[in-house]
Amino acid sequence: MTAERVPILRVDVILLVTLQGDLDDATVLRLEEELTHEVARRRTRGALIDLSGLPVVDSFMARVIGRIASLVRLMGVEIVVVGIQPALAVTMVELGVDLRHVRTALNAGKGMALLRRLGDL
Amino acid sequence: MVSESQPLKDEATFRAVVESAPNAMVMINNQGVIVLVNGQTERLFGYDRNELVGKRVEMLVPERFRQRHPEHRAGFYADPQPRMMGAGRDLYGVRKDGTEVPVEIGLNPIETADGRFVLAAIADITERVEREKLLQRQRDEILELSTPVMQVWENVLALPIIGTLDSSRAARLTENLLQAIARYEAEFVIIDISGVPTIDSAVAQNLLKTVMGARLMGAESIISGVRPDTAQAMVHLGVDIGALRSRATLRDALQLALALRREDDARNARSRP
Repeated sequence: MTAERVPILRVDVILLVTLQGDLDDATVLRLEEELTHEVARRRTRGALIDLSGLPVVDSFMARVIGRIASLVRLMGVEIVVVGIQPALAVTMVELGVDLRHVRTALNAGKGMALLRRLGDL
Repeated sequence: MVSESQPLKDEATFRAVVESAPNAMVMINNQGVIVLVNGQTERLFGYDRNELVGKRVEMLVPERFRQRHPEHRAGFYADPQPRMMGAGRDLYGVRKDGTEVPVEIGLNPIETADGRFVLAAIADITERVEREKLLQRQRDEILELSTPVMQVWENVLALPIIGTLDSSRAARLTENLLQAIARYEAEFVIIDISGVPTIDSAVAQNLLKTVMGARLMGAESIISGVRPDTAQAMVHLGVDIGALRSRATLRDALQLALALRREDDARNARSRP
């Protein structure tokens, strides 16, 4: 299985990641690795992960997202997950996905505001 | 009714029986070619009988089912038993003008000297379908009415829950709430449970799911209307209070939401370059 590459955009000290379509496990794992590398490479204060283009999340992917959040937070980065659609939210709750320690916002705009607020960026 | 084993001695009698049947009757041969229809068939499908006889029965089957129909037909011929067609599935016929009609179809194999035929009795169930739709709509409306989501302030929604919160209602409530969060860009949700008579573990779980769903969409929940007995029940059930903000009344909850919103706004203003 070849892992596809999820682009990581950098805006100053904030990283933006947009997850789209059907993602396989390898792709999510590759994202985890590249995101932590990118955080280490240059000064980063916040990361925003946009799930609005994601139709489904399985428990594995949700776990990895939770893990990414813990990892980068340890590295001093605030992380916000945005764009979870109603149907996806219901699925995640039913799956028992625990994103309790991840901050969330409705959309990218609100997520950016939240990041600024959190880190006084 | 003509039974499977009884050969048809009197064709005229048989035709008269078919003609007088209250339903549309279509008889096909083992090639799927229509050999006989009655007046009800003409009225139901809008064809003249001479437009039907000699054609494949698939002309009465909507396009999207047409391709698979010969297969089903062969299946029936392989094991010819009187039965309903497509058990449990919604069946449709297509009229001459292209419109579709919901139908129920009974299949009867008929052995004759000329070979095996299938007589299909087709009942128009439009009225029943309409009635069921109406019933469903009314049920939906009642559910809708029992799970209102109100925007009480900019970015603040209120969800008064009145009555017992069973899981089907809880699911509907969560769905409505999450959609409202997206629509109103809500950041706070006040869930008022003063109208819930008893909180048992199922209700508490459902409530928590709603709160978690809202949180995933970036909205913070405040529970209001927690009576002493309710509070006791929730603590007893081990509901994680730490993660949940709670106020005694809707009014206090709204005040809290507004205060939190002001805080956010102030910090937003500070952080703006």
